[in-house]
Amino acid sequence: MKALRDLKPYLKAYRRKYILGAGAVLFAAFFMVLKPRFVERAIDSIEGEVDLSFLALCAAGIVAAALARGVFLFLTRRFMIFASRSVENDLRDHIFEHLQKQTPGFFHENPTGDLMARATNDLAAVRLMVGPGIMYSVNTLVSGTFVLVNLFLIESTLALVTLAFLPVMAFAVYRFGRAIHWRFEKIQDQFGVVTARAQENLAGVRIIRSYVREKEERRLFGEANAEYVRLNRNYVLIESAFRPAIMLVVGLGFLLMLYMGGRFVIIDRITKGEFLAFAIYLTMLVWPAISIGWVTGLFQRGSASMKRIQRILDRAPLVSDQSGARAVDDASRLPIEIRDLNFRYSAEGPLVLKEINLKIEPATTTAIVGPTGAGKTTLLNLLVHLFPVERDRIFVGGRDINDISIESLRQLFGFVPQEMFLFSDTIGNNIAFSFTDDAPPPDSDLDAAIKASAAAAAFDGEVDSLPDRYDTMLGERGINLSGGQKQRCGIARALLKDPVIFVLDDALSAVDTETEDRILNNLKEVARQRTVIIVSHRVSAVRHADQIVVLRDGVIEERGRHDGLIEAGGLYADMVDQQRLKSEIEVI
Amino acid sequence: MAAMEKDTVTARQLDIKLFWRLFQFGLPHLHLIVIAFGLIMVGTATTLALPWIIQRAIDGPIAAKDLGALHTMVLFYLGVMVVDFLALYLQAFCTGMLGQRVMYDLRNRIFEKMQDLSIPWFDRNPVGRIVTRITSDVENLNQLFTQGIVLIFKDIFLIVGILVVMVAYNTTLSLWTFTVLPFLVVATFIFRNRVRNGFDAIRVHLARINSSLQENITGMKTVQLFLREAKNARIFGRINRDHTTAHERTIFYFALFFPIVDILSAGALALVIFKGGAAIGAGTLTFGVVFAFVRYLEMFFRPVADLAEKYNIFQSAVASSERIFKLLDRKPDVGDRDGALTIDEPIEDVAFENVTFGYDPDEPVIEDLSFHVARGETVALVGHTGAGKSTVINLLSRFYDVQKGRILVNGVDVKELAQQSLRSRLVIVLQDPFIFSRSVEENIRLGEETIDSDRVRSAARLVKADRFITNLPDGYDTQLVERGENLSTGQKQLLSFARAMAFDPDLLILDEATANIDTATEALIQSAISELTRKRTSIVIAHRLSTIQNADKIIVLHHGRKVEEGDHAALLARRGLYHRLYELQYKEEMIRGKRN
Repeated sequence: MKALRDLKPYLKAYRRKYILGAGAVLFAAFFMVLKPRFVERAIDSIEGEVDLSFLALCAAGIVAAALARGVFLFLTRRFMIFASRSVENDLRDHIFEHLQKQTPGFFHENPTGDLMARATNDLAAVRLMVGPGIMYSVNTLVSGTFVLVNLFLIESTLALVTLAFLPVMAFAVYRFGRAIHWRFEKIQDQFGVVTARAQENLAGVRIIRSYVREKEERRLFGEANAEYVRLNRNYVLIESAFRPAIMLVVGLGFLLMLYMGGRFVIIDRITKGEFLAFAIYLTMLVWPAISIGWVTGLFQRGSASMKRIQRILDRAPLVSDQSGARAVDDASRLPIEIRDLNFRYSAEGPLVLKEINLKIEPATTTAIVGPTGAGKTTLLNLLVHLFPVERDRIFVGGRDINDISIESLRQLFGFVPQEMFLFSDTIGNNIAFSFTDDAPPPDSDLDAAIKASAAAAAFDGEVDSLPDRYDTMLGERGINLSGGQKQRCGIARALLKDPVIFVLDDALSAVDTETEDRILNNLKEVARQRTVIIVSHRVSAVRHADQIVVLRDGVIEERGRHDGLIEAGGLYADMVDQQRLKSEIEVI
Repeated sequence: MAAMEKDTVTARQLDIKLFWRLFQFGLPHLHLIVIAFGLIMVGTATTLALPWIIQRAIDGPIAAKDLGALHTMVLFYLGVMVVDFLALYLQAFCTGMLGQRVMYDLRNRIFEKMQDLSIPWFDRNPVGRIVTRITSDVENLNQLFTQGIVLIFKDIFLIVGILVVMVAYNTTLSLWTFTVLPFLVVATFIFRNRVRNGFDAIRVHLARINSSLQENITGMKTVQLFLREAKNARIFGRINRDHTTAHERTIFYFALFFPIVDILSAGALALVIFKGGAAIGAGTLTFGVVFAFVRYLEMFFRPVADLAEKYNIFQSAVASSERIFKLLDRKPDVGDRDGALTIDEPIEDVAFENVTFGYDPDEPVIEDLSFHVARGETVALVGHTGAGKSTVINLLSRFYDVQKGRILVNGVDVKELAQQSLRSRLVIVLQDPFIFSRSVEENIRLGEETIDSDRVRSAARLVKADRFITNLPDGYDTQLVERGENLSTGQKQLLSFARAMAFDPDLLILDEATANIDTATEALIQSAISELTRKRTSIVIAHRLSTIQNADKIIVLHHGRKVEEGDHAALLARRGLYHRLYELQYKEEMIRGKRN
């Protein structure tokens, strides 16, 4: 029931539709129970002189009642199922927006596949609960009541005896439902085992081939597969009985009706017409009775799914604007300062950054170098507040970044991450990614601006060689770019933003040296009025920086300018040496 | 729009050839099919008999006011009902089991096919996609077998049965009621088409939701850095709304179709009452027959409406079975030739003779490579990234076939050898050790019965893996999780060494890991490697200085070609590429932070 409480705000928005739908159910049920009454009148009228016009009237009544019922049946679905689709729509939008507020850590904990399952499969189960689930519940209740009333109106003793099957049926449905559900769960578990076996076999295919384990693998898979079939057999054994058993119980009702009703017709306690109407009413109970079991299942599955969805929705974002957070005042000249910064990803995890102290003056270039895993990317990610930052550690423009609204902070940065992510959209739209309807490009000629930044990123030549140029689609429905092209597209994207602080996180690693030189040359112009922070493994990219920071194991080991660091003969000097060796080997 | 068209094209009709192939999977379980058909006939007969008994009761004992005879009729009804129940139940069980058996066979067949296919195919197809063949695609076919083929006959039997019984009762009244039929057929036909188009559209929209969701989740960092949350939410909202609208359009047809069927059945009922009532009055018809007609009509409409739904089951099954058969029809890229040879003697020597190979034949990764490994020798392959070292493994184990030149084992071209015979004499230790979600012992033995517990333990001892294994909660019985995530990188490597040791191959091919490992484990690994390669013919793709130094021969590769060959001292003395690589590695280890 907690699930329904969590769903309340979503359901409330469509209260009108649900109420109208319930009203339609009421009328549909009313016209449904009218039909057998016309049959009854018609049959009973034959007993005496046959009045053809009365028969015609009754026949017309049957059709008219069906027509009226049809209209309301249509409206029921139209209102209730539409409402459930709207609830699904809103909930999905909400999940999406909620995901957008989460930090990278959240996505690390919750694999993409899991999140996708929440927004698709689980959501579908919830939809079945708030759509058909609610609709058939209301219908069972209303139609069931209407039919029961009529059965009692015809002959209460006959109704009582015949309906003895109803509690039996409800009980049977309940027990069957439970047994089926339980067995189904076991099947699902085993299905997971079968899938895992196949998956492992495929992922470990090289080892399996190399050790010639194919036969053994076949045996293992065969066993899991056989167990799956065995569990399915148990399931089918019960599940196949479900419908026939219900039909059997209904049949028992008919049997009682035939016996008792037949007697009552013989002793003239009921008419033949009433007998026929009674039989029709009895069939009308079958579907509502069956749907009890089905609806219970819908609610069980829907609640479980809603619980899983709610677990995601209940996760408060780790980074969000704190009260009193404001926009930066003057975006033009902003020094960055880091004081005694320590950072770990989780409470138990190791320190990734230790005692970092760093000052970055506006319009200067700072380079961060160091071996893989030194904490360079972490440091950059903290500057843009992608992870929670302690108070009094990082200051931008003299203000603690916790006091700066996230939007205005990130607005300052043109960030080129290591793994540039491009969307399946056109190249032009990918470069103009930072512009939205709320933040349109300042330049009125967007196309020219896109071209200019592509040129600065040394990307324009290749784009121009494509038939659709900047309108070329990327991704699934388009072309794939190479690593280097992606990086340059990312640089163009960050440049077009015209940022105050330009950040390159090892974003030239897949670009050949010649192109790199061109880009670095173009960036000199950019760096004149901007703060630039560049992480790179290549000496050529960092040697002209105003300050070079050497990071290893989360600690700043050295800092200074290129010449000074070379002279010092420390880690930086080693790196320069290594690079020289590498390039010597490469040119052979 | 283009994507939508494509989707409708793939959702083809069930053609005869495909149907025949599917049916062949049912053939081994012909008895189930035959029994199911028998039961369907029995069930149809009993289902049809029930209203008939009531008619007999009404027109017989009830009309004659004969209570005794009514008893007999009621008992008869009960008997038929029980038979009806049993027939329905057993038939559902048989079809259910038929589906299960066919799926069992199919899954095993697909799995076996996957064991026959060779590495190039696996390198081209992501694991996730292949797994769907054996999971959801097979599951789709289940519906076809359990609810499709057999039950369609059940529906058809029932429909035809009802028609026959009604005509037998009273031809005029039947003909009158049948006037509703054309309307029902037309309505069903229109509905089926509309709903199918609707479902196609929904599928396309759902795929869009999925890809947009996936893209946004993987690219979330970029979205946040560029403050695109609002705009992307709006774009997603639009895709989401389109999906909802597509559903609403389909719901509209559903909402319309069911009432229409209801109205048509009321029309038929009205006709029965009017015409039947008049006939009763005229004395040409009995009340019991009218009663039976009403019951038969109720039975009649459901299967007709169901037929439309069954059609949709067929469609998704067709798409899945096409994908499955495509997989089953695939020939392995690297196959054994007819009458392939086996190696009956231990491996004496291995030779590469002018081998050229490229994953893309136009871009060779290895060119004109020749070298020789004699029995008991350890040969190290070194080179800069992309020199083609790992490719040598793929070729020697025949994961891929060479394009030019030959690889000889005991003087025989590996292309002449049965792959399994070749591989059973060598072992490959991969850079990234693969751990199965089984016990530690099973991970070493890999189900090989000739390797007993003692051999597992002594192998682990030799490579010094026993210390960490005995420290695990259940020692050798500890269950490892998928990909060995409860072990450290170094432990996983030691475990894969123990595995290689237990299999005691003639030839060891070892791709040394580059991963960063703490100094203590590093020392363990080095001693394990020398233990593994001792007196054993070994080819080592080397990354570590110490491994290189102990090799009998070092082959230096550069851009796929051999540039130097010799032992460590000789190569260093040449001061060529090897010398530089050596310097570079030395430097790299310093930077990586060996602050002793």
